[in-house]
Amino acid sequence: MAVDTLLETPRTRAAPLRATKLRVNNLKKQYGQLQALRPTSLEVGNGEFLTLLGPSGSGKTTLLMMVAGLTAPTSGEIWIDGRIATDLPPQKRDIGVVFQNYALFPHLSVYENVAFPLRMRRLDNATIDREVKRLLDIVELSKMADRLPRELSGGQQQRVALARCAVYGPSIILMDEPLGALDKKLRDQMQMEIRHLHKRLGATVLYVTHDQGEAMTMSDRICLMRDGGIEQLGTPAELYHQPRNRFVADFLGGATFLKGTIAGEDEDFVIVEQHGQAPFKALRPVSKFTKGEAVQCMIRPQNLSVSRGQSAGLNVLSATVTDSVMTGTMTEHHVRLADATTVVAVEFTTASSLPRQKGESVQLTWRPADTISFVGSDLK
Amino acid sequence: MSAVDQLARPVNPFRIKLSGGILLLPILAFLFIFFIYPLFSMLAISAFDRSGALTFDFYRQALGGRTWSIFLNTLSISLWVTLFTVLLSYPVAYYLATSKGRSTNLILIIVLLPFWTSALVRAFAWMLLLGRNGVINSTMVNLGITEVPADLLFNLFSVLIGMVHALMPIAVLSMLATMQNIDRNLHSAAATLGAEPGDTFWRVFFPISFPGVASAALVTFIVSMGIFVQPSLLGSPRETMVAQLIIQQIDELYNWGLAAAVSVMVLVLSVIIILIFDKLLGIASISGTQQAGGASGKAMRSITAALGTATVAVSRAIRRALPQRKVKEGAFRWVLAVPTLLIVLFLAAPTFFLVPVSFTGSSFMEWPPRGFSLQWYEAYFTSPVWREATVRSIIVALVTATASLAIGVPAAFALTRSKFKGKAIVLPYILLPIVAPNIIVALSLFYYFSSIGLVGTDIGLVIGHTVFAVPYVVLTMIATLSIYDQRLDQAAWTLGATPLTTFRLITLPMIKVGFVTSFLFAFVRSFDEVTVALFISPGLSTTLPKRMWTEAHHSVEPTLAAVSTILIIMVILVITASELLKRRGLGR
Ligand SMILES: Nc1ncnc2c1ncn2[C@@H]1O[C@H](COP(=O)(O)OP(=O)(O)O)[C@@H](O)[C@H]1O
Ligand SMILES: [Mg+2]
Repeated sequence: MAVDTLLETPRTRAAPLRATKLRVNNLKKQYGQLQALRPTSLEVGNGEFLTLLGPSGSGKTTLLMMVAGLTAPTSGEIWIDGRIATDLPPQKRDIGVVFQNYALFPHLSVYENVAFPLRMRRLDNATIDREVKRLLDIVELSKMADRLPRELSGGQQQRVALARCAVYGPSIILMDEPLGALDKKLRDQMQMEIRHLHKRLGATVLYVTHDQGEAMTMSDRICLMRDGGIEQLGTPAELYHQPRNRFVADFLGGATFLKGTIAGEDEDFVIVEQHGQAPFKALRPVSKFTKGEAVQCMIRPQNLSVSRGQSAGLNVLSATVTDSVMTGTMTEHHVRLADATTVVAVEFTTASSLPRQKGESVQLTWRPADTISFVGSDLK
Repeated sequence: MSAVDQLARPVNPFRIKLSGGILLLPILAFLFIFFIYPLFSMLAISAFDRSGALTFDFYRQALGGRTWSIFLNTLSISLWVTLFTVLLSYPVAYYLATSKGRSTNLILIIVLLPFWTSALVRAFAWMLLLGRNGVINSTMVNLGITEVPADLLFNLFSVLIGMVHALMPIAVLSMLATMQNIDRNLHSAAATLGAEPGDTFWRVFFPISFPGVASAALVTFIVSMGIFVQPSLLGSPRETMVAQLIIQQIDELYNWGLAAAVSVMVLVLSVIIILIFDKLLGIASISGTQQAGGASGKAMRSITAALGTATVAVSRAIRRALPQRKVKEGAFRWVLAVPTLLIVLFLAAPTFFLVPVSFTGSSFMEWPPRGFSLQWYEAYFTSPVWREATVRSIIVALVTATASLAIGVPAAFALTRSKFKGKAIVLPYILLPIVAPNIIVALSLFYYFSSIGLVGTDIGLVIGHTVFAVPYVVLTMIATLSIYDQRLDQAAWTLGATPLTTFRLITLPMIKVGFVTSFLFAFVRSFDEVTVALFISPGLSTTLPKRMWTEAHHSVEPTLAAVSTILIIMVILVITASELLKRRGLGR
């Protein structure tokens, strides 16, 4: 992974500017006592691939279904193409939805399923035939046109659902965990196909998943949600490198968290003290902090290295190796710190980075600039 | 389902095969001895004369003159009944399947009310409503709408009303079974793909629900061909149906051969209809795995497409005609809710008119009731004949329910939990008594019992009732068991519980509701049963329905209204109890 090049320019890799396609304004959904979606605002650019990511129950489906017009919002507005769409029925919104279980019509053939939206628009048979065949070609299902949905594999059903959703050229496509039911290999393949389809159609996509890997691979931007609200919205790189709080840092990619207290400041950095261990430097927390406040510092595994010596300007902690495994391209070192915290450091496997011995004393080193610290409410 | 099946796999397959066989043996043997064998031996009578020589005389009789015209009459009445039953049941089932909330449950209970209420009681209710001194006529005369009472009773109209009323609950239930399996997401999908409600209904919902409609029609038609209570209480001689003919031949003329020949004709017709159904839709479609495509699929598609287009056009026109007011989404539901409510009222209301009449001071069933008296209750409670009949009915029903559970529950376990060859034919075999016309089953049992001395005995009654009740027990228990997650049992085993302990502590508490429902089902089937009782409990040792039936032919006294009221109260108590139980069961 080209970690270093990403690191040099994290702030410059923002999404290109686009005209706003979809705007959600203070949208809220209340189910009795439960707030499924807290007042939420969001803009999606034309042609953008935006993913709603979050643990189950975080309100992703609720938000998506309100955009689709299948669930009525408690309050707030939805704008599509600069026109208010809050009260429009689904069929007037120029959207397409791919449902989690595909929702293919079980009594209609593949061909008729894809033709359905065109028949609803009362197009003539010749046009319908042409368009259906074109889409079936794109998803490579021309040979399956006469089959019933249940005679297809999961991946094929998924492609029919995509074709049916794309055939009438909706300008916004909504997908709710469309790959949830597929196995890993098929999922990877379909991720690529959906991306290709997105490029080919130029449609705006609002995509829901709880899989961070999938979100990182596919999205222009990710909207990370928790408990019915947005935690952070940005490009995958922004979320990865500049997580706003501990939850975001934890949800996207593995990370080590070191706990301590803020002992002092040094320009862009703070000095963090730990009980019984050497102090280290970390980037200043984004939120306000005071001296002596509890802090947690996040370091990605690939930024940690294990060595015997020391080098100037790096943070150093003594550690004991508990395990060391070569997994192929990467070598994982599991080490224990003096306060019994276990930490994983990941290095490229090179001739010099041989696995360490169990029980070996080593120095854990990393750059202060790779240390992101959270205080106060950002710790939750 | 398949995940559960696979998990069930590791258990010794030999044991499963063996236990599946043992669990099924009692019900298979029982139905063979008391259903299949009697049926075939009775059929033999139709083709042999007294000396045992092959003869077609009975068929010649059956195919000519009055018998043949009654046969055709039965066909045409059954067709009309099927048509109206299906047309009226569909909106109710649709409403129940597509709405949620408390009102749905209430409507379902009301729809099922007539299902639990005695067929005789319901027929009496229609006599009271439609009679010359009945509710409708006296209301119309009092309001000055008509001068003289209209002839509403004893004609085709009253027979159709009575039969449709009797058969609708079953039709609603079989449609509901299919409709409830329709993925709610399909509605949402259709809406996002640009379909308006009218299109969604005709092109998506209706075609998928069609197998449910077809099986409802099938069951309705076959059951109506064997019905005699409604045509004989609500009709004139012109509406005589084959079941009445069969009873007449046995009761009055002792003409076994002709009765058997007519039975064979009805049975053959039923089989033909089932085969046609299978050819067009596949019997499998009853269980919801229908096939599309083919000629019938295409025809269906163009019909539903046309209906969809028409509906959308009409609703657009209506919307255009009302330009000022915004037509709300809920409007569509209201268009549906009003007729549904009327139909539900039609189902539930009639029997309640019997309640005030049971307190009348006059000695006729007439409307409005005159004065107030408890004499009809007194007549019921002090008459040894009524009391004995009631006690016998209760005992027979209790024993029937117990016996049905004893052989039905193991069979349901075998059918849901183990895999064996021939599983696909076992279930239809067990359900056969539901689709065979009751009158024919009763007749064949009568013939068989008279050869082994069981006529006039309570054990004979129990056996006959069990034949009818056990399929319902198996169906109910299968429904309960198939949603039961078997991994719970496996978890209990791995946690150290023996199979028996697991059954007692885990399985039983969870399927308790199914048990109680099955028991009630079987109890009510037996308690309400009149066909078998008609043949097998002659003379004084009768059941309550048989007694009511005899009484109704004798003189229509308000005692019948009093008995009916007691039965209605019983049914309401039973339904309330089972609802409370269900709620407690779900509330855990
Ligand atoms: N129809 C509903 N009625 C009541 N609560 C609901 C309903 N739909 C969703 N919820 C609740 O709203 C919250 C958010 O749900 P959802 O949007 O489905 O989450 P996600 O898709 O992120 O898993 C959950 O707590 C869920 O239980
Ligand atoms: Mg969801």
